[in-house]
Amino acid sequence: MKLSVNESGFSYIIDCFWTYIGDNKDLYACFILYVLAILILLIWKKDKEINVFVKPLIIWGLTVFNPIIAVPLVEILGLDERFYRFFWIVPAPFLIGYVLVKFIGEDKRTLKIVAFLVFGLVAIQFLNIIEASPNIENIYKIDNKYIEVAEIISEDKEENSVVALYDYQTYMNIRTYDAAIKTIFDYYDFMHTCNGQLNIHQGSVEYVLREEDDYNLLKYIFFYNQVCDPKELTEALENMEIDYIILPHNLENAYKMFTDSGCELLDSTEAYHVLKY
Amino acid sequence: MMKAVFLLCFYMYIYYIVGFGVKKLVGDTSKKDGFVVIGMFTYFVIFFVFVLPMKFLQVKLSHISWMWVVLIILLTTGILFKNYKEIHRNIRYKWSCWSEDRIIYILTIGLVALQLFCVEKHGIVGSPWDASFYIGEVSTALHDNMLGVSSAYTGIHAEYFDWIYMLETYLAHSAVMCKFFNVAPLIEVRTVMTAIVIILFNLVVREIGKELFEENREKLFIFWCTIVYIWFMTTMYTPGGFLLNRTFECKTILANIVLPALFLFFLRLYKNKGNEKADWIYLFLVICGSYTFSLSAMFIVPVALVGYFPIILLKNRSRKVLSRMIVCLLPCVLILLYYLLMSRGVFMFEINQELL
Repeated sequence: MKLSVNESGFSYIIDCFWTYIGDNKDLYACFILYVLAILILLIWKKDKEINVFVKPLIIWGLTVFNPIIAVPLVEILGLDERFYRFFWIVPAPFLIGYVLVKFIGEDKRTLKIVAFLVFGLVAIQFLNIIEASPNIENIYKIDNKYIEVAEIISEDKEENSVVALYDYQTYMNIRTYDAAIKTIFDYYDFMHTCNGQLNIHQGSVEYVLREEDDYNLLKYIFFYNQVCDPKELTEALENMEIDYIILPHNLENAYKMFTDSGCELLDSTEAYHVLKY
Repeated sequence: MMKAVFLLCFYMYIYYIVGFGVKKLVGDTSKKDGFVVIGMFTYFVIFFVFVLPMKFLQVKLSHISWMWVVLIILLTTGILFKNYKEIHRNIRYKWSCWSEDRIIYILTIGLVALQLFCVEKHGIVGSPWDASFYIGEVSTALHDNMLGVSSAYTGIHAEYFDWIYMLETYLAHSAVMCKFFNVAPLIEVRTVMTAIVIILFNLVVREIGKELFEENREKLFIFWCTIVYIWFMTTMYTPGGFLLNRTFECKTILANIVLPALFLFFLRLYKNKGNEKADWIYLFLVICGSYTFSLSAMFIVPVALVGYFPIILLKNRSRKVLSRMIVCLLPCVLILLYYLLMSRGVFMFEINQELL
């Protein structure tokens, strides 16, 4: 959630709530139903229901959802991106469900018909979700392309574990399948790269070469398709003890550079070249 | 896939038996159901107590998994033999309910099966980074044959235990089970635990429905369907969004099982004016168990309780109720203390590199 308490100030809680609901129109309808349900309870004047569903909400409204208390706390605790989780505590669906069922009445036959109807509605909802879901390619529920490269390395490797270089998509998948394939790149480097937050300053490759910073040299080559002397690359691969490189097909510059610096093509899949150093 | 089905049944069996054992232990004579939910929380609390020292001592995962599985089989067998008649009676009672109203029960099974099918078939991962951590943590532990000694992202050995995920022994449990049953982490986490989370979410909602509508099965079923329908209207931040796209994650358990379970026990305690000791114990177990899943519980659970406890206290202004509330809030205070100490670097848990 990209909301900042500094920017929003006292409207942070409300901004957070609207971001929480997002652009899902059904949830807007639920919100209206929830408000209506509360009003109905207040009109019915049923003590039990008011105590169970409304009073806790009032307490939370005075405490955690009260901007005067919550905003400074969010700031101190650094909960900007996580505050939305407090909305989880509000038992809104239970109240909506409760009031709707109360309206149906007691007639057994009507209840049975409504039971079938709501089941049908849920079934349609789930069938829509299934239809919109991408197909799962295997029992591991990750793309086959990661399994293919992991298997290529697994068949070739002689050590218990190996160190490989790979792109961020592979980073998010390959170690869940085979943890023997380690890497050197830090999680935050990948995160920043994904978010486009890592800007390389002018002449950065020259800078890291001058500094003999092998880690950053590999990072710039790999993340930004930068070019360097193959000899420097060989040295970096040697120093960082890299065994394999999983290279996406679109990084052609890097492919030539890695092969020039002593890496040999082990195998290729539809998505990747697997190089061995 | 057979292993996944076996593991799913094994987990459900453990939760049921452990829950039944707790019910007997606390002297709960009520006809109320929900031992599977209680069983799950209790089971993870027991596992937490068992595995945390092992993690610090850097005991080999293969040893931990043997010890744990033997221990849990002994425990469940003991409970099973001791309460054989009652468990048998309970199953027979459930069977009689089934034969009384088959249509509703078929629809009930259909409702759960539909969710299971949908979520298991749903190929979207809500947060690939988080998923890579949660599953990577398990696969890394299996590769290292040790818990939490390497980075889940890179596999590089760490100098210190990661204090943020130190108490989340839910992932350690997956590693232990994967090691013993030789199951791939991706299958245990993304298939088995996904199914477990869906089933338990439904059980909690069902129990809440029972509290609200007593034993009116039709009303209960309509209520349940309505909740499921609303729950799966999702954005990426809602509990349903987590349940659909990030089912196996620790936060999902917090949003979809822990918080509804807190509401469930609040309902029960409200009904009996806070007089039922067993419900307080269950609530205490849910609170303790929540910390074994997600550190976010540290903020969210106490806030939820702040909303519920005054209502119970207003209904029964007794010292006994107040003292029980304080006991329930104790784990929250301890965890908060842990967070404050660790985030200020007062303690660091160093990893003995010689043992790696």
